Amino acid sequence: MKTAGISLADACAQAQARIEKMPTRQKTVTCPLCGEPFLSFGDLTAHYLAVHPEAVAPVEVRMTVNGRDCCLIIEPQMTLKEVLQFHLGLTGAKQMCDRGQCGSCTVIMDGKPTLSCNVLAADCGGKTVETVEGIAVQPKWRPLIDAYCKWDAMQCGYCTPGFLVAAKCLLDRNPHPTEEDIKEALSGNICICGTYPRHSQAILEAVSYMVKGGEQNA
Amino acid sequence: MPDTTGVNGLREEFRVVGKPNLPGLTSYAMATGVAKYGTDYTQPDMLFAKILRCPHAHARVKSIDAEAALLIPGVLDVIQWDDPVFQELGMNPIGGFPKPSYLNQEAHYEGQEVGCIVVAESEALCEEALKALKVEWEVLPFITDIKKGTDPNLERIRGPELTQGEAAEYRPEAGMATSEGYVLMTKHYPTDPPREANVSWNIKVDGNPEEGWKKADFVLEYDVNIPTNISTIPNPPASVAWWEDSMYKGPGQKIHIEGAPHRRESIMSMYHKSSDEVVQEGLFQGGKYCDWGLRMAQEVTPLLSKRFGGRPVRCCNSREETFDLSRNERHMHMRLGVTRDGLITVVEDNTLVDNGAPGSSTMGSVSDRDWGGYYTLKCKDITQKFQVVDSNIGFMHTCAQFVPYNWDSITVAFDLIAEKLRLDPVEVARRNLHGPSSQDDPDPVPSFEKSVEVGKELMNWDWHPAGTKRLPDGRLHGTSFRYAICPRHSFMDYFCKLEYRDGVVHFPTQGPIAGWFSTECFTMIAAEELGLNYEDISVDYDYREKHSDQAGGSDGVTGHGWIVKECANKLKRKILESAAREANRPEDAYRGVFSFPMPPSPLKGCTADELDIVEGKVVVKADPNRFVPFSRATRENVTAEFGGYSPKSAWVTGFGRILDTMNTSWCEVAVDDETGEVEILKYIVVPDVGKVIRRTSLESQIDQVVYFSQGCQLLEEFVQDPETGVKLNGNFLDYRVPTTMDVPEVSKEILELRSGNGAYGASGISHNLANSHLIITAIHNATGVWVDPPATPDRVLKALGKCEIGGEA
Amino acid sequence: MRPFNHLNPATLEEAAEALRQPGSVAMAGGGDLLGALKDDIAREYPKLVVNLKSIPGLDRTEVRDGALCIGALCLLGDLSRNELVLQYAPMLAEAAGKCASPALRENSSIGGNLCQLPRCWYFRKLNNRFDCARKGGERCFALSGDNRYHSVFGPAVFENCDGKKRACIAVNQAELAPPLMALGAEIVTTLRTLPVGEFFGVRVMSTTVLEPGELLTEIRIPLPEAGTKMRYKRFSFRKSIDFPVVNLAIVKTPENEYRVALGGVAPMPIRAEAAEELLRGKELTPELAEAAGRAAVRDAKPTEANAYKLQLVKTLLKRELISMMD
Repeated sequence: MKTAGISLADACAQAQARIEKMPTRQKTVTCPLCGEPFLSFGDLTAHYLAVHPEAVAPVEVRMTVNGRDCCLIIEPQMTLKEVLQFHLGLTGAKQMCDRGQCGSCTVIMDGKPTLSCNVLAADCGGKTVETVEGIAVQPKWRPLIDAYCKWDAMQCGYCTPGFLVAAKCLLDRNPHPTEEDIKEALSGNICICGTYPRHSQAILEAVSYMVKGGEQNA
Repeated sequence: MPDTTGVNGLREEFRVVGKPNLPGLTSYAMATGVAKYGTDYTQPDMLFAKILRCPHAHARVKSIDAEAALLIPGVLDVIQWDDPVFQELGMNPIGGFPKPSYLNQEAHYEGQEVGCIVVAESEALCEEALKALKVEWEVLPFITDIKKGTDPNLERIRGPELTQGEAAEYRPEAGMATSEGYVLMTKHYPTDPPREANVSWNIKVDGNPEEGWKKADFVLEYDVNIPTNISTIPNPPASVAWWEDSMYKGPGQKIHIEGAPHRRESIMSMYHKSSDEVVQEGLFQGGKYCDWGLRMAQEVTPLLSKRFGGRPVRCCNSREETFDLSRNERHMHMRLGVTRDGLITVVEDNTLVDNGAPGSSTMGSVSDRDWGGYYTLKCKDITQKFQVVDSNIGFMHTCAQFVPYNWDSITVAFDLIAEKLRLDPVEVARRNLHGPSSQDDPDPVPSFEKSVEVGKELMNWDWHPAGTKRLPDGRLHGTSFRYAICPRHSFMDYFCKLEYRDGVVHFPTQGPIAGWFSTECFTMIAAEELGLNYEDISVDYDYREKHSDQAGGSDGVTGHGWIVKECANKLKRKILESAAREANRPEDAYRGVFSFPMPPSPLKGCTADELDIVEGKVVVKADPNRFVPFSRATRENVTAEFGGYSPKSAWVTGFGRILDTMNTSWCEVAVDDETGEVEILKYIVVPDVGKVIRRTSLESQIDQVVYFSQGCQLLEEFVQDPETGVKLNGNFLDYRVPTTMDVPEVSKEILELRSGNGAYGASGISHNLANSHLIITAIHNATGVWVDPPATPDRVLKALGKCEIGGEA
Repeated sequence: MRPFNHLNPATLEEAAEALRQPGSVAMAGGGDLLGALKDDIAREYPKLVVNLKSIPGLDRTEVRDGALCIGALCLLGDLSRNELVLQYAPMLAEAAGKCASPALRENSSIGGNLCQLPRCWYFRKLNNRFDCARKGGERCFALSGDNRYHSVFGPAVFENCDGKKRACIAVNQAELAPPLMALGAEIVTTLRTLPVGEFFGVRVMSTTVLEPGELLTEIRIPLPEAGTKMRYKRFSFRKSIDFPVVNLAIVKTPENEYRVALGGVAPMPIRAEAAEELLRGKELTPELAEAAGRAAVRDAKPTEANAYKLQLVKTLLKRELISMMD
């Protein structure tokens, strides 16, 4: 069917492209202080010792983001949110409060909802991280996204990815939530556009659709 | 029944308008996180900038020693207020209050941008640089308590050039363009008392108050206190800018700026650039409810980028740095003359209001005195005395979602009159509300009567005097009621352009905007009028287009929608004319050497009047079997433009005296008088929106306004340290916006009486449900005491006298 | 956030060694510390952040030697769903399941909850705007300022680094402290074992008695005897993403011994001893419950702005006790 504006397929394809474009490894390593390029993390570390002995040196972290193994050279004070945005080019985790008080930057880490602004990327070695882009590319979750859009579970849309990730976490743990379960699971996500009841509506509709789909497949 | 003028204002059948569950044009991009908002932009080789913020409520930078900061590796620059580069900047026409310089030496509230901007290779290094600055401050006297700020012996806190009167004259939003002309809303009268210390006056008298007092049987005196609230824009305003080569103007002449959506004109003006020299593609913007001002972090990035050869620069604000006002503090001391029948004979509103920091919009302070609640009354004798206090509380960018505040003083008045006369407040309201023809018209508009009827039924309305009912669980029970008019924004000059090109209707527009699905509404209206489906219209986003849909919520959408409707009909007419012209071309018309002879058009012989567009076809009205597909209606490009105002409201007795569609809101609370907890048992909204265009987003807007009003009445409080004027809760933990667990279920029964001045008689709703005292009034009805908002448990307990100091009470 | 170095230690010894160096700071879930670092609230910014999550074995929950033993890095979300906790200390599971917000609970540890810094808004104001007694300064700004959320039992007086006596009216906001106190828990550190009531302290940039390099490793809760009843109640202004303004925990043994602990009312979590004394050996009645509520706040010294907390403690304690009646 023809869709007005950006279609579900368009958006999911964009998410897929963003994930594919993630620079999971840096071929050359540039000194963030003076811009000098190096071939390896070891060379950069040596450069710091020699040239910027007082400065905080970058660290190397390996984690899996949206199914892709990443080896990242980051500054130790960077949050997971910053790394997702500035190193990996993902915009799904949004910055609203930057203090773990609003839920807009929610991602899934090792299966649990996690506020990416409130976690140091340097602590995430070996972790598996899934962002809203990673959810969008899984056909299983398209009904959830579709229901969100059909029910306007968003107005300005800024907090929406955080809600969607929290909703996905809920459904992972509890595939048949009640309205109360939904309210509780989304209670760490702030929206100022008045969409709260829309989320329950969308999630419940997605659940019923997904159950039907499951039965048909079986 | 009044309906609007124009084409199809009386349309009965709707195929597209009002249809549910049409996904928003950009919803999938927003939900999947691929939509980019200002803060989401990153560019290769990007620099970071941060602006110094004042740690005092009022202070002047005497000097900044940046030596140590500049020695930090990766810190590139510290640009101070007196740097000549700022003089290159032109004025921002919106919110462009003239400043001594762009970046000031003096800050008027804690957290204001002041003194210098640092640029570094990372945000962390910007913070290191700010920390390393040695700033010498001259701390100045400040006012954050506006009641104390009225003391005539206090020192002036700002220069004479920054008084409120002048501010009003400079700021375009202080006035309103209406179908009755441009009305400056904050005129000073020659009779106004002179400014005294930090206080200026603004006094407006309607009618003859002395006569009004003579008619009164008793005097009602009460206070309505409204605190400061904060504009919680979801994405903290920020921008990223860089310079690109212009094919026409040369290398590095084009600004690319992301994150200042719908203010491209401001950037053009500030940087002396023409439209083709300022690129801004991403227009997603977190919900800016009535907060349209650009922050310095959005304006200044091109300047910084230029300094570094066009390298992208990102200037970001933290949450705390964007704690600007959405509502100025206000204390309304009210005196009403009232008859034994509950009729208000005279209104005296003595308002003490915060003027905000210099340059603040007057929309949140004095500019609402010409419209709203008082002018819906039969009472003609109204005095409004505004005592406006300069302060160091914060900055008001554009306007408050609550204006006008006199709805709240009226809500409280009806409750108090009801209380005194033991009369249902709904009846008090009905007796005082004038009808559509004049202020002497005794019969309220049908919109009011219908809304009241439905509201009462949903509520099981059974009013009782204050403090007289307990629920079985022991809690106190209270109810409240208010009315307001619906339309607010339909006063602006709107524009629409539609094109039929290559068989498709194109709707070019600037792009997505903060949260009210207006482009979707316009697309639905255009499809409706053109006999097409919603999906058939191609919405073309182009930031250079004139059409922008930023005109405020569902009420703005309806007025704008009327323009779109007219434009669509103009286009339709032109398409049919073109189709008729083409169908009737002589068969031997020269079509070029490669054209084969064409069979005669099925429309041949028809005039435009004899044609119509039905279900994607251009048909002959008299014989629907004769048609061509809409996509082949004509090979011409057909363009229609339409602009201006939507029609005058159906029931209007003068500027600010619009009654066309009304709404009622109803609230029922339970108050635990041992813990001070307030639970909203019912919150019912019965708006006559005229006509529903897009139901889900309309309902969400109702929820938005109710939650916002609820947050401000039960949770949200802006706190400044009394000793220093420093804000203490500039974050989302301590400034409590409601969560999913806090909001009530809002029951809505939406009426469509079609008497608004938007498309099909729509009027929208948004703002007009915003209130600061509906829940507060219900709490009064429950407890018999008034609790100033926010009615947090501590304040409720205090008002109930349950906070005695000393252990065993 | 300004830059700092980062360490992922593999053992407690490695962590302790690093933390003995000046300018280093320990981080568990990070929910509390990252906010403090972003707002740069302290006099000194740390040179090194030591990530405790990289040390294996600190997140176990088990029954050992007649006690429920909870590793310091157990996450609040896991605690709220843990079967052993639900069996032996259901009120601790309830308390853990109501902290903060859903996502925060999944990444915040019980150790971090107990060691978190004060939430006082003067203390937390960015860039050390108020260099208060808890930072090593002279004054408590909340004493004369806006203290609506502060102690109703007066300020704590403590010695600062120079040995000078200072006051602080900030409350301890460790949300799990009251249930642990009522349960009679012990705190195990790398150096010692302490009753939970002795673990807390009022110090410069600290809310515990932990010494530099000393780490909390485990919480031990003696298994309650059969027939023990317990209640937990928190009262917050907002229903999620909020700290309680008052929380309380009650344990009632079959012999009618009562342990009542209060949080959010004093510079440290406290036992309501006068209420416990009044209740001791008695069967509950509504009158007794009300008297216990009054007794709990008998010695309070509230300010005008925070006297409401007394009303809350009185009411909540009364209601919870009544709900425990047979």
